[in-house]
Amino acid sequence: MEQNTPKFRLRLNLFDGIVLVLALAVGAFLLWSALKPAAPAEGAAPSTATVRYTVRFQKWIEGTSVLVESGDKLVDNIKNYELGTVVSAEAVPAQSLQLDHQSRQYVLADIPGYEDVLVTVEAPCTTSDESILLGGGYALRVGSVAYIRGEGYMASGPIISIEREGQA
Amino acid sequence: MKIIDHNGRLFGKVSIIDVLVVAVVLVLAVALNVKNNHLSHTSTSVTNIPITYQVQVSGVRGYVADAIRTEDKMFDQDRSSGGTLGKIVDIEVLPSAKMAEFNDGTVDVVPAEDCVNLLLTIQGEGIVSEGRCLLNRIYDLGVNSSRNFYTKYAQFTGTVTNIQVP
Repeated sequence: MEQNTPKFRLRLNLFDGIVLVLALAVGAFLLWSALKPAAPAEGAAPSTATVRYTVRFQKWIEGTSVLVESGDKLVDNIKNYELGTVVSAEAVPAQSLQLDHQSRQYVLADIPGYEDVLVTVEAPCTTSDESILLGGGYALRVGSVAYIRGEGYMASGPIISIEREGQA
Repeated sequence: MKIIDHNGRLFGKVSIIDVLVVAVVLVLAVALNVKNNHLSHTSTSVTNIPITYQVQVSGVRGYVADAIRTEDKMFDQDRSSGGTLGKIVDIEVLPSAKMAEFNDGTVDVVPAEDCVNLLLTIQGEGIVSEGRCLLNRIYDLGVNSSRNFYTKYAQFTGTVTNIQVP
């Protein structure tokens, strides 16, 4: 007995056509977006370099600055970013900005029994127009306060200088 | 007569699905038109203009002042800005003035050792729309707004003191 199978016929009405055209347009746009060459980014692309900066370890008990030695590895105490290797350390008097009510001005007053340590650090970094990143994510900027873990000590204090590229 | 017949056609003529498809296409077309022609911050027919503004940085320590240089690009730490807020074109160093409270109950602005005030002039780009200055079309700039700014080398808090548009 012969089987009567209906023949397939493609029939599109107007709205099916619109849907098909829209789908094709969206597909073509997505394909174009994926394959088009990337627009040149504003500014230079990030590059790797070495940066040298100075951080002021604040309010250390007098005499303890000898713990900081060149070659010490420093790590960010909050998110564990590697912050580089100590190049040099120098103890200076600990100071605090205080209001002098008599002279009516803020003065830097020495804090007896404490010292600050100026620590120069060298670290590999990723640099762009916007930032200098240490350890892949720590944004190094003068004025920010760093919380640091060294080899047998902890410290906090502001970044006070960053050598600019091309600066000796 | 039924509104939708047993074939899903409105008044027996047009499929409800087809009507929905047409409605979606119309809405998309209208939205695209509004975005490109009627909203100034997304319009393709409005071009950016140079916007020069000044930021006062008060009572900043000397080492921070030394790290801020002309030609450095400015950014905002907290707000979406669409990229750089402009380039520092001028830095005026002024004597420091920091607010202080005294024992006699008075408040004064007094000098601070190793501190300075900076007046930064920054050149950015953006649009002015309905009285609003929008750097990069999205960053709302207003006199007296205090923001946490940063450059590649330094971070600081500053207050916008003046905006000039051509």
